[in-house]
Amino acid sequence: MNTLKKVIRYSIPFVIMPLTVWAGTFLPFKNNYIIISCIIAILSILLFYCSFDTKKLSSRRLVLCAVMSSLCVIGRFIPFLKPVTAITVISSVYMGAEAGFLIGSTSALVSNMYFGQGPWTPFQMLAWGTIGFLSGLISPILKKSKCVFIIYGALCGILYSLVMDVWTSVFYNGSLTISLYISAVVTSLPHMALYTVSNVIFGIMLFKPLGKKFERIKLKYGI
Amino acid sequence: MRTVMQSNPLSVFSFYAIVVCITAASSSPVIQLLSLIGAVACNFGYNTAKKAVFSIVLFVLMAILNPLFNTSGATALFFINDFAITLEAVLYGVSASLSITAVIYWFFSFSRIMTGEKIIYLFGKLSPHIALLISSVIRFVPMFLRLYSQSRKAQICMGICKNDTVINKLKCEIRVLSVMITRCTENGIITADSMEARGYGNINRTCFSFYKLRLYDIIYIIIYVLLAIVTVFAIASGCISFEYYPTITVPKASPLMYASYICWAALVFLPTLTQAGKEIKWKYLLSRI
Repeated sequence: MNTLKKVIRYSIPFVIMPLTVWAGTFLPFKNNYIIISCIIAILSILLFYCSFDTKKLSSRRLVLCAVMSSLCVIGRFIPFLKPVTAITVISSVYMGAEAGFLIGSTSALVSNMYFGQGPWTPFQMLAWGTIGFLSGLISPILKKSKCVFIIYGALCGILYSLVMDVWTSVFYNGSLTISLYISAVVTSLPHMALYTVSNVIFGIMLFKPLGKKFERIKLKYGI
Repeated sequence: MRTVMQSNPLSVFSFYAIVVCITAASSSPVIQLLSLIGAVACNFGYNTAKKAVFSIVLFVLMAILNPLFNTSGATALFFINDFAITLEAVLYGVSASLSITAVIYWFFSFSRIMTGEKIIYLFGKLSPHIALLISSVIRFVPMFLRLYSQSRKAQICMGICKNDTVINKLKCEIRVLSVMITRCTENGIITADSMEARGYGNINRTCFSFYKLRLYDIIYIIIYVLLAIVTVFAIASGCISFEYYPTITVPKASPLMYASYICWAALVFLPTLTQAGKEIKWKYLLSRI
């Protein structure tokens, strides 16, 4: 099992991904981009999953990850407001980058079981996972001040929407053209505003209480 | 013999992967239309009225979008401020939105059929820890939803939350979310301790599943691949590809074209046909009682 993981860890970025892109230029279809980008997204999620040292993931951390990502899924049921990004960012700030990726990607996968899977699932998993991973990496800065945290949350909302717009226009046209991308961005502006506003609101309301809770749990159970 | 959708998750997944890839990548409206009809037939018997309205709106929007951004094409239909709306661009937009609607319809049935345990069976072998994570999230979500409504009712009952204005409602939601986080994390720690007490982490974890790779699953996969190869070969040789710009050129009729259409139709309607065969057999057996 471990050797298989090692093989996957080294072969995906250096062998399989370049090979896929290279083979993609020979595909007989006209709209190659969407298939190739889907495959690359799935491969990068696999790479993340395989390269995590899951032995370090004790049962308490694992269950905490599961709890936080199921709370994210529940957050998607709240009408109009989407606390998913806020919860992912806060929990990955306190639990680390790897846990952040796990929480983001798992909540995207499981919530799509309720809201409908689609060709967007791998991209959503990757986008949310990356948000969690990044916020785990810059956690010392985010922990310090609430202001930076809220700005970061707003940025995350905007970036998530922009990344998903790339997907929309590639899926529609088979390739990325500037005018189509701009129109996709414009049509998704309400969504972007919704994401940003709800990230800011939940950031303001949840930053302190959630931080306290995580600190307390760390202190109480020694995670 | 089971139907396509009842077979092993591996064969179901490969069916969807093949069909969706070819639908998304082909530029032939015949292929796209057949795929759409097959996907709609696959959802037959399930209540998809809401989804149908959603996909019709999407279809119209997408079809309008292309001519507004694309002016290449020889036949101008009319002009808006010196901006030509061409017949070719309109038809290309219709074809692109056909393929997108077909893919979305395939995924309606995909999310119905690929339940959580099937996804875990497929991808759980890569990392048992992540399979455990996903399966526990699937278990937690309905439990937490129940807890959520309980806590909300309790908060309202105690008079802490007011359920009148929008701001108060929002405050209530956030308060309940905060309560939920405390409650669920504490419960989670207890779950983790009990897992450890029962021997979690002592030896390598394996995933339980009751799916077996039987002979007919492999036969199904071979059928999909054979049918797909004919279609892909026809697409690659260019004998079924439509050219839109500058003028529309329809491919010439050839044996390979008909063969690929027949193969593609057989592939796309296979789930519906096997399902219909099963229903007919069931009705026949009932009538003999």
